[in-house]
Amino acid sequence: MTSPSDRLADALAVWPLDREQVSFLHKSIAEIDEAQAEELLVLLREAEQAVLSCASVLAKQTPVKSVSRVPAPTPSLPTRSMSAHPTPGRVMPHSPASDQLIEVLKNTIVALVRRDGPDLSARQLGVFLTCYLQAEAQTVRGLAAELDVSKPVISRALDRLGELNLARRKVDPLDRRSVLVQRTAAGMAFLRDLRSIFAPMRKERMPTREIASV
Amino acid sequence: MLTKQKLDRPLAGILVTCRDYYRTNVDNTKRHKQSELYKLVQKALTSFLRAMAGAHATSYSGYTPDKDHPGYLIKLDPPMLFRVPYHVLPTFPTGDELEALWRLSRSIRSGNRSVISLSGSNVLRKIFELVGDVDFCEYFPVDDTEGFGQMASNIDGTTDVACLRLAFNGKKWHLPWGEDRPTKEFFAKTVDSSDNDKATMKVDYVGDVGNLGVTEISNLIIMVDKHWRSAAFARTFAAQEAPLSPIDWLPNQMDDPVEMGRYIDWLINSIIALNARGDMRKCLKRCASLSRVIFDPGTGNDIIDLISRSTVLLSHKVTEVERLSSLLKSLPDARSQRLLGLVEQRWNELSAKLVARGGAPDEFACRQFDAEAVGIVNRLLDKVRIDGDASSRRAA
Repeated sequence: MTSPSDRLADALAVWPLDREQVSFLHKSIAEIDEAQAEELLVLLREAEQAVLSCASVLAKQTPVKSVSRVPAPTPSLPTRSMSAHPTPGRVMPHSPASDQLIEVLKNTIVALVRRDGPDLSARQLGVFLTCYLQAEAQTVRGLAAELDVSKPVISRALDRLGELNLARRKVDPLDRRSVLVQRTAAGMAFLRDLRSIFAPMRKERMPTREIASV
Repeated sequence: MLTKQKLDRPLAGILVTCRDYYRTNVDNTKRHKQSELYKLVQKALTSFLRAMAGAHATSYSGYTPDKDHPGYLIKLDPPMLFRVPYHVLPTFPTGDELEALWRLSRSIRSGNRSVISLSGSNVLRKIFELVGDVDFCEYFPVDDTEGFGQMASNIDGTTDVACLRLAFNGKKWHLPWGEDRPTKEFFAKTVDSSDNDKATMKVDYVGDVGNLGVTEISNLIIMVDKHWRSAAFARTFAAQEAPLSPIDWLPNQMDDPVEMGRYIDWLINSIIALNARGDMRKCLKRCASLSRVIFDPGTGNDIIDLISRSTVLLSHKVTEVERLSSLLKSLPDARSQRLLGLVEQRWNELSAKLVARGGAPDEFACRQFDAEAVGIVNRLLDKVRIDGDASSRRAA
């Protein structure tokens, strides 16, 4: 039979708490008396159930007509849901949403080639965006797997990004056989430029996000 | 053995659903509040606020959960009383610093019936040790006629605190005060809790705040009627306020999904705007607040790491102290000159600290800071956006 403080630690483990909260909580639950621990366990169980049942009901909801009254903020990047969750019941290749996306893509590329700055190929842009939009550090091998192309292709793209100072290679200090791709200040500035090109067009072209209402 | 489901994503989903409730029905929240799903979201919100307050009470000595206000913990240390949202407790000031802030609140409070709270990034003092000024938010009942007298006499300040500026109803007054300075009668005649312009007042001070040193202070006063209603509630957010006044019922609370949604919406919009403007210092403060409220502890940890490695914030603080010093130099009175002496001492300390950490950041270091900050912002927004897109379709 586990002690109340062990059960409490177990019940708290599922909650997202930061370093300081966790260290404080773990120090104190070891000293908590049994009655207090039981009381807290009840609260935590109730909350866990309420959160999970609410989340499961939310997951089953389907979209209905938008009644959004607050203009949606202009996102700095395209949302993942645009590609991951196509509008139900529509065939993507010919849907208005996909046409609008293609229009935005075209205008973005046109704006990119018109501007006075690095002109990247689709492959180079793909490598660049993968490096800058994913949280974890990228390797040549990882990029090749992610984009489903060969390592020499990634290598050539990185050569070009390196020439433009948009990314640089660095030997992984933890595994010297591996090469990490590092972001640069110039790359961050280029990403910011991309956003500034993309944002007004998306605002203009894309319909306001459909938010369901009662 | 079954692994228990982590609650970070369901929680973030619920909180972003709160945002959608606010965005979808900003003009008509009553209709939404009748729906079953709304009640379910509110139940989940209230339950986890209550559970988290209970859990934190075990760790923070002297704090007990506030049974009437889910998510808050109370610390009573007569005559001081603090009511703190649980999510800011780990970063809330403590000890002498907290006592100095409480005493400061007494010296700028308007009357004995108002509810004054520590607000803004001050509740995150342990992340942002070098926050700018000390911000307060005060809910002032307009039927407190004595309070108007206190409001007018606060302009004179105290031995340690000088009032610099006052803005109200589209007009501004500043030190040195002329003959047209606002009076008790002027306040009593003009304030109106139902008119947005006449329901808010901003008063700026500079003062010697114990071990916090000389700092700028601001107090946003919200005029409320006898039922604690106000046209200016939209300018405040319960989740970033820690009330320092004894009161049975808080005018603005965290357990309302629409209010919580309004706060999250404001934070996200501010982060996007500040990021686009390149004001990464301020943007990180908003990110810290958002990460605490949507249960994304990783972001808070990333911000602490970045601040500890960079001198950008310290250098900015030195510049702020220089600005304060020039302001005080222009004021000839004895109190200002005494404060000036303390400010110059503070400047020497901060400058020495900056030199010890390698001096002011060069352009490359600033860019590096910005680049890392942008990374933190994008990771945080990405998380909210994914959950938000999913939950927005669900918010029926």
